[in-house]
Amino acid sequence: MTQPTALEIFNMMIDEFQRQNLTDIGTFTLQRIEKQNEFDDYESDYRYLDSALAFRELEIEAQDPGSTHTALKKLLSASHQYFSLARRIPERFNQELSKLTSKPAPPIIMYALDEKQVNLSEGLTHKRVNEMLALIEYLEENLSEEKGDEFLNQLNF
Amino acid sequence: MSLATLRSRFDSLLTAINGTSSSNFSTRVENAYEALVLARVMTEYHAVYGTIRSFSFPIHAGFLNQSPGRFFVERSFKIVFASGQTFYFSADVEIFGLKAYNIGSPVGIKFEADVVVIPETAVTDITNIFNGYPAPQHLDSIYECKFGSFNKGQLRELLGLKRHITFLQRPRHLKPRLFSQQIHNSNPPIAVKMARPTVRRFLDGATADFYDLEQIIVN
Repeated sequence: MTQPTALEIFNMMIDEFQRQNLTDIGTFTLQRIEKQNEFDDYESDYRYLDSALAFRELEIEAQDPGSTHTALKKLLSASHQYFSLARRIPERFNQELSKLTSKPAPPIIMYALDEKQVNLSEGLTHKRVNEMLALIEYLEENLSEEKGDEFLNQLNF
Repeated sequence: MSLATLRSRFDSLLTAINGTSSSNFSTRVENAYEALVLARVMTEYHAVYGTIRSFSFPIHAGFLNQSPGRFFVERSFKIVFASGQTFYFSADVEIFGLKAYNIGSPVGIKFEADVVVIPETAVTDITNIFNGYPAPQHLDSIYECKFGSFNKGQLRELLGLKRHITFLQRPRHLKPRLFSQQIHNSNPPIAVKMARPTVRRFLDGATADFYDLEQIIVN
């Protein structure tokens, strides 16, 4: 993937995530740390951190031609982590309940504000989530600059 | 395929994922994550309290609620342990603060808790005296669930919730350790924790330790 293409894809993804209220993905671009370091040991790091700001910092990084691929790689990785963890929630819910009872777990149902029942399990395991993950993986596989932009012609999603 | 086609594909996938309901994908993820945390908390209690004598699902399928409110046994999971303790595990419940604790009646503002654990011995009091809203004396542990959104202010939110329901003093009795944080400075001794799918840096350890706060990883 050439740098101009990487930048276009990066900008497109950021635009779409913001437009579709998915800026939470920005959280997964923040530095992931070990559990034992969950709290700074009073090192006076007062940088403000939040999900949306993480996107903006990544945008600045992407504008530098020398860092575009790195920024896109971080964004693709964060998107993949977000959707794959979200998709697994119903399965993980069942796994935890199976440690407590042999009865089959119910689907995750929520009462919405209008008191309608919403089946969250269905929404999180929607086939489009799998297709989104496949598209992200395809872009990750073709991120390398040496591969050029040929992958665009082979894209079949 | 051109970049324009790629954008169009990306857009149509995200639109389909977001769906047409009143809540978008990220809201649904946050709500479903509460269910996963609820289940993980129950397995932690199983590890702490031992053999389960009986386990009950909520009678109402919708145990998650976008508009938090009263505690209902019908919307809660219930575990009876062989050791004699029985707990209800519930999501999206509003709870009273220390004023209600001090005078033993349902007064003061209420705060929402994503997941609460309530001993069976407290249920009659909650239902008959407190109009369905638990007060600190009724709570065993509570959890804030954050799948996606992150900001540094969330520690302050957690700290505020903690101060709403416990005094900063030695507990009158020690309770079993849940996850890895022992309560040593909160009375009543209610465990307050924040669940996340991955750990992000939060704030200083001294504050967290002082107030018995902990991030737990649930994924």
